[in-house]
Amino acid sequence: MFHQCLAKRCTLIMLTVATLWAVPPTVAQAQSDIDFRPVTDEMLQDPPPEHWLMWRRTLDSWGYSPLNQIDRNNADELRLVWTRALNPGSNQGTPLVYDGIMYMPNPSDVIQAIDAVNGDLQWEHQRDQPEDLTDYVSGLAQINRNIAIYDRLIIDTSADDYVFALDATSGALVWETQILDYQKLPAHQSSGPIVANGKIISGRGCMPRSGPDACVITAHDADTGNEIWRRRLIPAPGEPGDETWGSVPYEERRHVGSWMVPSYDPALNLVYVGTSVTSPAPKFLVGGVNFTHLYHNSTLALDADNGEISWYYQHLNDHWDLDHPFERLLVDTAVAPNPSAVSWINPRLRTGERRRVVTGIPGKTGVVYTLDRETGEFLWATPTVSQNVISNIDGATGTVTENTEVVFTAEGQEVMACPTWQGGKDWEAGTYSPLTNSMYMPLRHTCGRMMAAADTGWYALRVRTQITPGVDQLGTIRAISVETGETIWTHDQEAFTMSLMSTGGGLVFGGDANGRFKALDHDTGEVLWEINLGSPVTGFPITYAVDGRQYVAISTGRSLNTGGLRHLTPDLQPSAGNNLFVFALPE
Amino acid sequence: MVISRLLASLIVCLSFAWLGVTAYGQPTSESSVPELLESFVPVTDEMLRSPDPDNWISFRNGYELWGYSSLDQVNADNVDQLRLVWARAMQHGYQEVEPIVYEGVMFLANVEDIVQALDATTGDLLWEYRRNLPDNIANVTGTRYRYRNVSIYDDKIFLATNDAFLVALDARTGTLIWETQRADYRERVAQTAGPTIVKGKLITGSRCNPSSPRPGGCFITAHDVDTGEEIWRINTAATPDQPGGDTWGGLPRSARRHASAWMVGSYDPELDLVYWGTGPPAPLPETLRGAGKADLLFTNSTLALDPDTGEMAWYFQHLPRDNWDLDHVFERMIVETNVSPNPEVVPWINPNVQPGEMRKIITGIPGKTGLVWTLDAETGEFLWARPTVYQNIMTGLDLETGRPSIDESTTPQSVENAVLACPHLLGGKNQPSGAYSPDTKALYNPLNNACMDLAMSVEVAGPSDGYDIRTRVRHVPGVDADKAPVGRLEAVSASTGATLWTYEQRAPIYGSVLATGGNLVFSGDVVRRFRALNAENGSVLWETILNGPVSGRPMTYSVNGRQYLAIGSGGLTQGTSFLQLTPELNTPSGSNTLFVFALPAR
Repeated sequence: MFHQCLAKRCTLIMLTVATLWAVPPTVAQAQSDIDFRPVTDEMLQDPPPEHWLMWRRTLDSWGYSPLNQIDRNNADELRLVWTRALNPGSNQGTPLVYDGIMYMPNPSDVIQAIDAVNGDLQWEHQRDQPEDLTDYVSGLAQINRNIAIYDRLIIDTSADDYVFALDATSGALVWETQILDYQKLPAHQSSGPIVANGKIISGRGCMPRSGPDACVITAHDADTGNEIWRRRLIPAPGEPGDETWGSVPYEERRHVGSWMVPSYDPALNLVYVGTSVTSPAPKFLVGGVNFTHLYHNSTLALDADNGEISWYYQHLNDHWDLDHPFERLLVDTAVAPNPSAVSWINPRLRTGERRRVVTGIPGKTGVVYTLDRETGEFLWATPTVSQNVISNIDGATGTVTENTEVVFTAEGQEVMACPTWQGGKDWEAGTYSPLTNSMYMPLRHTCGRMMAAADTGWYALRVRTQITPGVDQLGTIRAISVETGETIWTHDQEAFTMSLMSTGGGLVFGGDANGRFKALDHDTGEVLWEINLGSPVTGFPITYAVDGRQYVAISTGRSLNTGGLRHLTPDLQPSAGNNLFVFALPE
Repeated sequence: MVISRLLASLIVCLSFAWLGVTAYGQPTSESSVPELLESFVPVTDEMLRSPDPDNWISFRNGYELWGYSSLDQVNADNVDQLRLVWARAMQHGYQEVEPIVYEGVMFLANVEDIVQALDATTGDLLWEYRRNLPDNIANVTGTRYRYRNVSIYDDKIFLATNDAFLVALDARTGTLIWETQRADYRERVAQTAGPTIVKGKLITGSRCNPSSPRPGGCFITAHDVDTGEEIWRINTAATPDQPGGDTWGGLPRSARRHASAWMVGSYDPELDLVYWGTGPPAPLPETLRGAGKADLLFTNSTLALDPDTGEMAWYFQHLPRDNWDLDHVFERMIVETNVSPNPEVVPWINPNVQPGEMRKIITGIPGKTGLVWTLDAETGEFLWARPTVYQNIMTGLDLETGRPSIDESTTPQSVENAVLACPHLLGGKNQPSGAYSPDTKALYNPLNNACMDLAMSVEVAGPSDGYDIRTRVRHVPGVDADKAPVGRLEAVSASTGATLWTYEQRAPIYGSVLATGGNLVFSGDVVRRFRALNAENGSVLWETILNGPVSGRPMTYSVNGRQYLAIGSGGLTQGTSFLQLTPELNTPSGSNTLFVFALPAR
């Protein structure tokens, strides 16, 4: 009936009852477009509590909502209000909610508008994906982590390397703009954009075959879709940083992508993006271990008006596929790193001074970095889970020294490096709560026997992942003070943990690879409520309110990690279904 | 499996040669016994006859197929406190599944011949069995994505497979104990429901594809539970030399096809009879069949069989000469009741019925016509019948014999000109089971009020054609198509035949019904709503919204003093066909999932 099953699957299932006369499917019409209040930059930069208008709710990527109807005293009263099947494919979606309508990115570029109170469908937009798409952008074409809302538009980047806008009231395509020709310069757009003062800012993971020209951050005009600027993340000859690639020819500089979602500071008018490893990863295969290959594994602060690099900071010269594209938390805070808890501190820092910082765990190493977000000045950094790839960071300069014992220098060399390409941290987002001035991070304890093998995959690495020696459990959530760098609490468990959200009710919500979705006390980490949703909690949790009732939404499905780390917890055998769940307190 | 192929493509694309990727759902060790099953107590005949209320160990929770549980912790006073306790995604396919639960362990049938044992309190997997099916099975039997229930007896779990085997698994580990071939699946034969287990015998119906070339129709078998050895077998189409063999208009045995027996039989230990229902012949249009207006025994009949021998004690044909695909395979409920049909609402009453007499009856809605039929369980004597939803194919019943008269204008006569036949071929009623509550003495049935345009799809039938009809779903005559309710839940007194209450709504209702000792009736609809109604008056006491069509089979059980309620949703269902009548409604169907609810833990 309604086209929720894949074409292939539908043909597999025979209807043997009788031949049916075909009847075209019909979709209910959405709310009147007259009632729709356009979303403004002001709303995006200071969103009313009842809405969730972008990936992490706010442009500072906190993943925090001030809603507090659900709190530490009543979280155990939460109950299912509605659930809804999502389209097949790898689900890592974040719903947006605006004025009682939920906009849900489903796998494979399907977007739905749903009544946020009962889950009934308002409209659905299913973008046609070219038949040969996965030949160029891989199975990552299914992943659709987030969308944006602006004015009267729902905006997304597509698997076939377009940016497109839908009418929020009908799902009709308003405009689309090609960013890259996926057959010539393929990139995976598994994450969507943010909107910075009317500009759609988006990154992408450039396929190794594309060379440097697909490794770009772009800005488009939200009204017209016209491209405003494009910032390449790999320098060309004659540009600053060209020398960091040694003798590697320009066209062989590969895969420095930005496959997660930027942050934006309207006051500084800076966009913060994070970048990935090169391909291959071991640098002896890319011109030599002494070259830094900018701007891989870096934070870049870009001028939102023109994409110029205001500053950059490189977190790691990466030989192990330890990307650094994750959420940059923008916080104004007193900075007072505790020397007994923090490994590397800038000696010029005056303890207790208030700074505008970019913080969080930007990369797979699990290391917390705190930088001045206006200048990029290194303030402090400290590891969380066991890592052995960084031996030192010079506090005065922020210069990172890699551990030479695990830096590959020859084909066939084998090392035991921690963490692996699955983290530490990965794309599953942490959250920051202003109530505790703490970040909460979903982490895992992994190490891997890694071998440099030039003919292997994108990264010239063979990896056999294991749980970190001396650690019993794979999964953990860590609460870390943004001011002092101290760990406030940890929550350890067998299943690896996934994306988190914090709320004004003093709660941290998050799920795990074994289908459990939980609410924890943000002060203690105590589990106050837990439910088994059956399948890995791959979606990003959000909360919203309609008519005074607070709801919590979360989705389940599968991801590379839920398959790839499964052998580390073989007694956990969750299912793998794509469902969206919405909870609330009893009315 | 599409889903695992997609996952595989994701992994291959980032091919890390050493990356040890373990497939989903594979048991880590096939022979290890999960802790919950270490003290497994074998299931006995006595348990099947008098099930412990905490458990639900057979289809519809008992040989009478009532779909009733006496559990009453969840009741009309507190049902609005129900909350989700756990969920678990199931194999993609049709959602028509009824779990069984025994001593805290759920044994869950999935489509594609996958069986799982789960901790019934958490949903965590204890073991899983996956059958290796022939690659072409989906195109041969047409059943791959449809399965309803497994059965338990002694220390084994039984299923009837897509490739027409009976399979016995070790209930503690899921390990295969024995398997027995019942037919060659390439003859387009399988089964979509588990066996009824009677005195150590597995009595199993069959689902024959309408295009199955098997002569003599479909079949029912009995096998030994310990060895899998076949004990008896009967065919459902009478052959020329059998009683009833003269009802096929002289057709040779090779042309006496179909009469599928694809649901689950009931059993009465006192009379020692099993009751099974059968479906229509193929092809359907009489003008193509070559048998004139012959009755075609034992199509669309109730068969009362000796479980030891398969010998037929009696039969009753509910609908001769089926032109409409109106199977009569559904639950034959066994009830002892005061038989007092009310002449004001029951149009067809046998004049020999002595009102007020206590009788053991076969009752319920056995066929897609939506008629409630009541027969004497011992003799098959017709007692009374009444319609529920609108039907136009029968002009009446013979009051003494119950034999229907057919309205000839509803039989398809050509390819070009359709006739209007009611109900639609999906019913009226279909495989979603009704329930009977001994507390209210009422039958609760899920129904849809719809008709079909019906025409022949070919001018001349081939020897292994299917049904040879084409249809289009229609509202019943005379209603406002923009408003007419389609879904209906109707409570009918098993004693008087009177309607106690009716719940009607626009959205189709295509899921089974559960009745409980808490004065509750649970029922789901095609547009995601699952609700509890007051069993006495039909008022809605609780409603929640699930992930897709609520087409599963609600059931209930209790573990450590806490009552749970399970319902499958979000898979495929034929019930969505009725949404063509309600274009303003839609539903997703991409994520087959089992949901389990309970009251807050004390």
